Amino acid sequence: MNMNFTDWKEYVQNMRTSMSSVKSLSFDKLLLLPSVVYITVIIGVPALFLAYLTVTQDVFSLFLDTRFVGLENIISVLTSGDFWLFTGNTLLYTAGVIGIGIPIQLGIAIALNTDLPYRRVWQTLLLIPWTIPFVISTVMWKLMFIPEFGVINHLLIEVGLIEQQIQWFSGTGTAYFTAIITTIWIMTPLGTTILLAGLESIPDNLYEASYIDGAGLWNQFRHVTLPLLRPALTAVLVIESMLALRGFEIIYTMTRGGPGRSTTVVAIDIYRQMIRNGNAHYAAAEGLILVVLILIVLGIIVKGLSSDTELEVE
Amino acid sequence: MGLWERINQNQALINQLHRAVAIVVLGLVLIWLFFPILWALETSLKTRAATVASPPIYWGFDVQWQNFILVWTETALPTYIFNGLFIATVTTILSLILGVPHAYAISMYQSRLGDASLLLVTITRIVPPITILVPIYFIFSSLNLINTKVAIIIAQTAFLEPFVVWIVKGSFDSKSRSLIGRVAKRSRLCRWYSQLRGHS
Repeated sequence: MNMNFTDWKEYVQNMRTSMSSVKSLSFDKLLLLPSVVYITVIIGVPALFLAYLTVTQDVFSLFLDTRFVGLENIISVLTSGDFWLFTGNTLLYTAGVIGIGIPIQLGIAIALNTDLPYRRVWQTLLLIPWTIPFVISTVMWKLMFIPEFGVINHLLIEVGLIEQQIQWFSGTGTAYFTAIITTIWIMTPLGTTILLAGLESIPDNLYEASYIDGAGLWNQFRHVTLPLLRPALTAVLVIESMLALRGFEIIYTMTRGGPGRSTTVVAIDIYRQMIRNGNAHYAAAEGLILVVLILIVLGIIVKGLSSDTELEVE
Repeated sequence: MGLWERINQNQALINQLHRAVAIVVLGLVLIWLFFPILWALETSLKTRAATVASPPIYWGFDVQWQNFILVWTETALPTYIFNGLFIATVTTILSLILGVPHAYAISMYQSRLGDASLLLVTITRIVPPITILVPIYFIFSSLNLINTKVAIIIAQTAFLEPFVVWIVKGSFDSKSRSLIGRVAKRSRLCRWYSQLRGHS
């Protein structure tokens, strides 16, 4: 029988699934209805309310004197200079987390990709930072960073790297550093696990073949490891950048938004506008713009890492 | 010696080097990962004065085991732990009850509703919780549910359940209906049910 690949796929799919028509309330629809209803109500209703809040404005209290203002809220968010400062902060924070974090995670994954004694033990120990709630980990790190009695300053002075105490929370760059280091510490298990799974799927004989062709370690990395790691790298990039772009608890707990507003990210501003200023419409519009921002960044990442681009490291 | 012997010998050397470097790297990483935790544990056993001592005290301080007892008896910690456990348990059970049938329906059957619900699940995972915070706060406060466990459970389940559907669907996708049918038919529950129905 001449059957091509698509026919075979359909055949297998028809064997394992069954079509269910639109009109009938069949068994499978009953199965998924509670879940769909729940998600639609709990997420959908607030989403609709978010849209409502975004396009209306009120003077004193909600529902009593709201008027439709169209895109005015969105425009006022986009034209406030502060918002672009916060966007820049968010992107800077994300870039720091990804730019420093992913090479570290890749390095750990490569190190774990040998048959070490007790490899499972190392892997399990590596998972522990992810099991601790974010706020607790941040408080742990904050304790170490506090200038006068923090361990980090003390160790740096002992080793001789610095002369005076670094005031971690009083300077913009250093405040970023504390937040970024903590985030990397927390996210290491996640990235390492995914990258290790990706590394393990690369067959050994590819390395042997490239060695015969004359490739040294670095070239093997460039031409065998990186291209075959592309899907895992994309997954790690997407997951971690999404977490970083909307990260609130870590930065807020660590720096409260930085000296002044220098580490305030968009998520923190939404929280402040809502809770401190009671400015629900502005916060709603800002939340919507944050979603758009995340989608744009995701689009850039996925496009940049799609199969048409060369993954070469010079 | 022949080409293959040379290649294998070089490969073995590289592997040993790789292993040695790996152990060093992993040792450093483990120190980096565990030092904060150990430092926090140490701090939990110090007095307040010892905690803010400058330069910091690494060992040789009075170990205050009673800190752990005090935090249990004199603060609201038991309440917090109970709250957390309760919320986590209820959220997990609710998410599983809602999510697993959903995943089964999407994976084993094809329907337009199923495809639409998969899209819904995916979109929910992209939305950042902070964006939904504003409307959820309003809705819950108008229902007088602020500061209750119920509110947290409802909101958390809404965010956890799509995740459950995603993962369980992946698991179901790799199994066929005939396998599930065969396993189910052998279970006592199914046999009891068909007896009840009067089948043979």
